[in-house]
Amino acid sequence: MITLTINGTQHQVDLEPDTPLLWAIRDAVGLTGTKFGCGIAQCGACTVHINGQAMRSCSVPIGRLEGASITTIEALSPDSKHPVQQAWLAEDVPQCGWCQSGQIMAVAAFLKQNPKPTDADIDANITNICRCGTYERLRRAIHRAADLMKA
Amino acid sequence: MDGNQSQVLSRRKFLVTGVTAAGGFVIGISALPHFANAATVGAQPWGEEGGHNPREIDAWIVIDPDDSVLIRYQRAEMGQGSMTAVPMMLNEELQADWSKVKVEFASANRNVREHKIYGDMYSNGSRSIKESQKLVQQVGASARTRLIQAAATKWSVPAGECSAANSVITHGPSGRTMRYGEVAADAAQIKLDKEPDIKTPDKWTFAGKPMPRLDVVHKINGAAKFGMDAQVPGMVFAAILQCPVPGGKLKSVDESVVAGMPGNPKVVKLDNAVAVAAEGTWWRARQALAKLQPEWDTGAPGSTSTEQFFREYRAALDSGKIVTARKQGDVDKALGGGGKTFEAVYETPYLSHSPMEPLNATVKIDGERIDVWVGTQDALDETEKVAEHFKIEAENIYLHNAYCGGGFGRRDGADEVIQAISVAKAVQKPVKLIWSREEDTRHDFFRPMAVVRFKGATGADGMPTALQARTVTGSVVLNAIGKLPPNGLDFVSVQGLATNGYGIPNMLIESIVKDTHLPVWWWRAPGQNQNVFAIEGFIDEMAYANNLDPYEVRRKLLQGKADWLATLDAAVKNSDWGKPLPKGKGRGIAICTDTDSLCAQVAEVTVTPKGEVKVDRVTAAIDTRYQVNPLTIAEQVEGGIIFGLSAALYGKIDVKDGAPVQGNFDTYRMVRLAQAPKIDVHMLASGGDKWGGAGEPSTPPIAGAVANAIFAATGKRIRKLPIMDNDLSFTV
Amino acid sequence: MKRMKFLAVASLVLGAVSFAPTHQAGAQSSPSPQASAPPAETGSTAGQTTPPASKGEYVARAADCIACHSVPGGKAYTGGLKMGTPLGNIYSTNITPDKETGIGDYSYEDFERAVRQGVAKDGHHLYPAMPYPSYAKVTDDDMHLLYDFFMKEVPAVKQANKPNEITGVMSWRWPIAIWNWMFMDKGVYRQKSDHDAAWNRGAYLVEGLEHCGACHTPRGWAFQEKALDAGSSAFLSGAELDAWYAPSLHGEARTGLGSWSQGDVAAFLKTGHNNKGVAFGSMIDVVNNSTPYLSDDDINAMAAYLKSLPAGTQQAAYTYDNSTTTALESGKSLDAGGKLYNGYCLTCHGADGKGQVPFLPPLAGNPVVMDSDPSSLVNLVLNGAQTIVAKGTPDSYRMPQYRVQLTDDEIASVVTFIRNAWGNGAPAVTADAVKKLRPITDPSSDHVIILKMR
Ligand code: FES
Ligand code: FES
Repeated sequence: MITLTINGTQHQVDLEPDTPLLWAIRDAVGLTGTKFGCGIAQCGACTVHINGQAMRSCSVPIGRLEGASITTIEALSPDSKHPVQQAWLAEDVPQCGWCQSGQIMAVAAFLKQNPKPTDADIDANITNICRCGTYERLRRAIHRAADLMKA
Repeated sequence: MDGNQSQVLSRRKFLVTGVTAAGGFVIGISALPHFANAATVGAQPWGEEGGHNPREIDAWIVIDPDDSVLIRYQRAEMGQGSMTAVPMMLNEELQADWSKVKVEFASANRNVREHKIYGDMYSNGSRSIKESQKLVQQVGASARTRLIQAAATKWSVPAGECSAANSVITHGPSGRTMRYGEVAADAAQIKLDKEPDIKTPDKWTFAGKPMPRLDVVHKINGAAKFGMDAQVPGMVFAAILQCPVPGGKLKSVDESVVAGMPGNPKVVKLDNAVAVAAEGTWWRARQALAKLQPEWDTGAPGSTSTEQFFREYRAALDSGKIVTARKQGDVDKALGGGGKTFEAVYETPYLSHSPMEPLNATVKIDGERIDVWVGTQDALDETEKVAEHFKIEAENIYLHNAYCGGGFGRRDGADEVIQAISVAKAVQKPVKLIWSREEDTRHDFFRPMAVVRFKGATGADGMPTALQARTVTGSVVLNAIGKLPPNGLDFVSVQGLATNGYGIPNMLIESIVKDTHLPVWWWRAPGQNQNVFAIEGFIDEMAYANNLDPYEVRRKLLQGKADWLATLDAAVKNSDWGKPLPKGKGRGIAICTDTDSLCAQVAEVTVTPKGEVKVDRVTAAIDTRYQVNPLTIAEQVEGGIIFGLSAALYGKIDVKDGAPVQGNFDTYRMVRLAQAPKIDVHMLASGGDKWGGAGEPSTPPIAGAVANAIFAATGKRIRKLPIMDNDLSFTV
Repeated sequence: MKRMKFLAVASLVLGAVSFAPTHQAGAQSSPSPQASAPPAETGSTAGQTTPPASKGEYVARAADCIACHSVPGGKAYTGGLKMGTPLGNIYSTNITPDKETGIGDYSYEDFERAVRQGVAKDGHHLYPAMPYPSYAKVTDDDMHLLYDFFMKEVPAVKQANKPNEITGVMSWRWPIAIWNWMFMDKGVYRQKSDHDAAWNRGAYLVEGLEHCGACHTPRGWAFQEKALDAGSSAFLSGAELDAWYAPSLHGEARTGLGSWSQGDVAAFLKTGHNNKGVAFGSMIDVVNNSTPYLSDDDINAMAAYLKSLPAGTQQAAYTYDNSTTTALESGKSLDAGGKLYNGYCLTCHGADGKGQVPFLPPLAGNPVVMDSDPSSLVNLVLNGAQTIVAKGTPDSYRMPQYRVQLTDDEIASVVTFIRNAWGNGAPAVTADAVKKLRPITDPSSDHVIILKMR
């Protein structure tokens, strides 16, 4: 039994310690907002916050997470009004949407570090893949979210 | 939001959670002005089983006494936005209060039972709108007319004196009004002796303006339900390994090695694959699967390679069976006519679709009845494919279509659904089958490889006088449809070559189809996605060889074609075409027609002396003839360019010992933000009797535009994709 | 990387015949992941389904003959594995008991001479890709067990050997006789009375059949291993081979095993993991095919012996430096390499560089990272790592490759960043160094390769 603290709730999962967090979240806990895209930390679709830091949950073994605080897209905000989510709506960013939970979680953590990012900062930090190619709007939305946060 | 708790699927719940989620969102986002009065879709897009509702006016429309309207959408939503645009067209005629509209997927099962009442259901070939337009406008107009008729009858006035707007019917002379909700039940009973005419786009008052996509609200908080998100009580998770060599068979596998592994794994042998179903997590199934050492019967293809295929394709240029696709003038004469002549061979590799959501399907079998939860581009066709495969009645298949995590042409093969059903039958439990990324890449139905040989001649003025193109490529038509049309031409193989708009007096376009053991399929802009790169490169070659501006050459070749010229000019005029650039920087143009739209692009690139390429900027123009939702058109153009750019820069599936090599995103590279160019899109609507698509047309030109820009920057001509395999280094 | 390269074999001798396989199997199986004792085994399901090995199979496992004498997907022991050598390409041979194409008509004496002295039945000398200089130390008992295993337990497979691709003067085999005369010290392992039984056992394993030296001992002018036993400081002092750097197994504080406890070494051999690192490169072949199948006694003996090897150079102990972590967490003041680490490496190896042990390796204070030779690090970033499959159970995690995603400059800068982060303090890496390795190293496969004994 491993105890995972996800979105403020404690979940007892009876899984092997080397199980990637992604599958504990999706299959054992049943939160499906966190997505599977590659399984080897390449695409970022599975990004969650672990103690406030954006991590790719497909590559985080749960054996290391006792006591850690995990936040998934479902709990980024209570009402979908996190500045990043608002910016995403305003720019109509998502297409198929599969990558977007990860994009939003990555950007939310990133903007905490870089409240006023340059395009270069964004390029270096947001390496999530979007197969639909929403990058044009995604970049605009990141800047918009940064402004919303200041306001 | 419903996404916060694990959902247990009960058919009633789909709708309930859908509604609450949607309702919640409307409140949640009303702060954003442009979302006020928006219609809604469910976080779970699939509707009630069988798709019936006592209060429906017809199969498409349900109006409740409180005026809330349910519109059923018959195709797929994979980000292309037609789940928003198609209902917009319907409501253009229905004239319902958009803020009271909810949209859900039409039921494929009902479509089967009620003789295709929704028509076909597929979203591919950019056809969701262009092929739905007349149908759904008619549906909306018919309902509106019946609502008015019902009100007129109540008032006992001539229907002609009544009008409808915003869910309210008004009697002109008396000014009396009645709400849709009040007359919906009566309207449902009315049969019209004559269907009303539908509006021409110039009369539209509602459609045609930018409209935020309805599904987006569920895609910012994890609520949107995709196929992989379905949860059925008691389901087990399945992972699968298919024969590394496509077409090969499973010989044997020692199941004993998974004994005692977590999740009580069960090995299921399929004809061409081995699957493992495990309890608890998909990961357990995947780990047990990885422990198996199956033996495969790969047959002769087991020794083939990419190099060999390209050798054979090149040889086939002179030995294959030629089918003529287009012929004008006398090419041979013109080529021998003493002008400058050109010859070049262009090569493009196999590609995988690689939608972001790997293929998956969830299945529950209950006696005769099979419930399937899957994101598919064609709910009807997959239902029929499954019925045919298992020799069962299509009526017994209940396919609940989900949001697609990308499709690009791959999500209509039903192969993953058939596998999931086979596993569920074997383990006697509901099953969620998920392909690993490696399986998804290596067992794609690929974009075919192609070798295209051009011959050309230019006249005294340097303008092309002859163009011959002969392609050798795999046959998408044979693979996907099973037979060629009577004329024997695989029309996909020459898309982009035969469809070129250039007024070259002598032209001959020829097709030779040659398949390998790799299955090939529709891949965003089939045929176009490789041929436009080739022909636009060759046109460029002839222009530069005669010291002519590639833009001017194209303008001259397109003389008399106002729509082509307008699209070309829109792209070029909005770029900095003609402004001088330093060595290592350059601009390139490409243009094509696809799905009756036109798309032109100017790419601006930087190439470092080490040969590293960065696409800085793309200026695109698209003429879709008509526009239902300009916002989604722009989004599709932006996305299609990035999709084509990943392929142009990095995309290839190599074959070694008969097996596709690239597996995950570390070997099958994708453009990320850092490589994404600045894109601006200019939209035209030239009208006419055809409607153009928006999803495909922007993908074909980008490779050509970038390759031509690289030539302008370095003097190096790229004739083989991907670009990363070309040495572009230069000395300053 | 290719599964096997020139001499990149490591195998373990099981010495004592006294050793009982049954007791062996018992000692090997670990009841359940949760229950397994050493941290390095947490989560590993190793041992759940290991068929009991015969004594002979156990020796063969230990000797890891299969790693060289098989190819992925091929039948066990039928050879055919290509090995690039400075002399040209050579192919390993069919050692199944097939009379025509294998060693079916080998007498015990023929077999023993081939394994110990590298002389085939027909009298021709084997190329020293076959580690017979180390095998020379094998006891007669083990040799008999090995012979019986190949003759009685391995199924005969008819498969002709591939001709070697060695041309010119080097194709004359007589120089090898001279090579042997110069570089081989004959004779089976001799017990060292000044060490206890366990140490001697470990020495016998490591120096002998195991021939760790094949990768970890530097080679001389004629490509001979500079030393074959602990008597010389050159033995296992670290070597570059096939674009991999096999680190020193001596006690250096930073670049050797100085910071590893005996338990760390044992856990590493048993599972390919511990809290200090994860196996990569050729060592994955060893972990996938050999060491996890050994008894705890043997593993501990090897670990004890290795821990007894003195440091070649005195090094200040590694101390963790937090400043990199702060920089990464704030995303501030990062150079190009730091930015790349942030974008591509951080999610697995952490802002603190401590990885997620024992599953994903730490980079902070890792001897491989701190060594002056960066080959392994560059190779790993270029080509990723194969999946570790301890006792047939694949790892949950593998290092992806960046060959097609990062340029030489980018790889150089990210590797340089890692080598200087968290107090690692290793010299910078140039883009040219990456450029050199790129063409001569092949992408690793994400296909899991498990060789089957039968
Ligand atoms: S699924 Fe975790 S990064 Fe792709
Ligand atoms: S929106 Fe489809 S992958 Fe990003």
